[in-house]
Amino acid sequence: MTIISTKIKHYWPLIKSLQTGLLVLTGLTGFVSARCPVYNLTTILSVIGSLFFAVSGSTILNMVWDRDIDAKMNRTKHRPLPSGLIDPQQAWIVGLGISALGLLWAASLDLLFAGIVFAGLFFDVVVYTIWLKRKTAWSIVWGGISGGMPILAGRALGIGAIDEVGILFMFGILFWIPTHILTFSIKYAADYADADVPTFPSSYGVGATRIIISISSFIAAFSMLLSGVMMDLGAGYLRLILVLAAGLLGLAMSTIFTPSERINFGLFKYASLFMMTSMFVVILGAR
Amino acid sequence: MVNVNRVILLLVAALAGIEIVSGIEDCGTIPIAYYTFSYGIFLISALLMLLMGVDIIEHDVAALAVSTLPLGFSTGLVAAFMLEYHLAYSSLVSILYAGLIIQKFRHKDKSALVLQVLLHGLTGLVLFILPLVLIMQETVEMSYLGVSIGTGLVAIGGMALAFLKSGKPILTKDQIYTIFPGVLLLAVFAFSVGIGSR
Repeated sequence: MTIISTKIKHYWPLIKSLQTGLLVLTGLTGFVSARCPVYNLTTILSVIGSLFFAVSGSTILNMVWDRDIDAKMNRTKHRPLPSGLIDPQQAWIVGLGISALGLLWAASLDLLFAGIVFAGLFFDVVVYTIWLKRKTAWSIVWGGISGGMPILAGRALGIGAIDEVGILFMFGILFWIPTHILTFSIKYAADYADADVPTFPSSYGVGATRIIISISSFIAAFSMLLSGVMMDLGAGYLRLILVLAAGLLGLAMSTIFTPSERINFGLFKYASLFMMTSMFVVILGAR
Repeated sequence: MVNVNRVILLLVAALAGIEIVSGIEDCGTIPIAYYTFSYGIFLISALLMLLMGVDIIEHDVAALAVSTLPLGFSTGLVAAFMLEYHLAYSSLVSILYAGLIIQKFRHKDKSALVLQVLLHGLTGLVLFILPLVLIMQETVEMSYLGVSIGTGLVAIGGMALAFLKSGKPILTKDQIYTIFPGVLLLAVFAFSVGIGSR
């Protein structure tokens, strides 16, 4: 029992619980937004469970592959893999096993749903992590696309097809992710430089990165708002998303005109809050 | 920041959010837009203070944004109850506010201060007095007094911050930051009671 609890304690940081939780929430939001019979508890639990395993599995695989990078960065060198608390071979097996479990569970629900979840996993692990992350700063686009897959999958499960709203939702996440990652890469620029990982600040400068953050924030906010309009969310909920989006854009513009580390990291935190709150607004407003 | 203040700021954000979603539905299209704006300022300010600390309110951009709070509510009131003056009033406060922003960014502190006093004096008076007049005329219910009370509370918070910025604080910085979230919560509650009652 002690061994199991120690293992869980070591593996828990590998799944980045907050990030995984947010992605699972987006998937659930996509599903509920379809106004499907949400009171089917089994389906809801299956959506949550399959996405949780698939996202956690891909995050573990990402951590295993990037353990040499993590070892070079101050922020991440104490993680269980670079610090030697977990055997990489074992982590590979756990990551693959959990991913497979998530995909099988997803497939038991619906093949389209499972296909999109698989695409997300593939883009994250193979395209983003293994292929592009060490080569180009633009790898985050693929990270963004994979991040957009859970909400698209949830929506597709709800309505039985890929529709415009699902794609707009995906765009919302895709363009939110640069805001999330780039503010982080500005804060930890030295760490990324130590690990020789190309980032927007190191490739194009901090000023250009802030402009990109603002543009992507605008597109993310616009996508969320437009998807809300298209799914007939209700005026009150749309107003709320508009206000939250204005806050996101205001902060993004502040990082350009009055740049400071505090505002930059405030934007990082606010962006996560924006996405989480927007998801709850869609869940509450879906009719 | 003490945990109680975190909870209070969360409540401010939640209450402002609820008002935006369902508290102003029957106020008419134009007032809804203005009330959304002002409740939005409450909401965003509370979230930023929660994420970045109460002292973020001293940041130049945040201070300018928060100073629009009475603009939205007062213009919304004028649009709701004195529609014939709406265009003139909204033009006047917009010009004053644009002037304030320009002078702030040109670092013309004295003229910015004059514009700020004019702007907040005007909007504060409208927000404080108009509900009283409407109650006396029996146009609205007694609970509309919440708008005047909310205005008073925002004025107290605003003055405390203004004195702090001017270097002549009436309370210490810590005291102001400790009570500020509570003042915000009372203010947003008072506004929601007032505007929600009609």
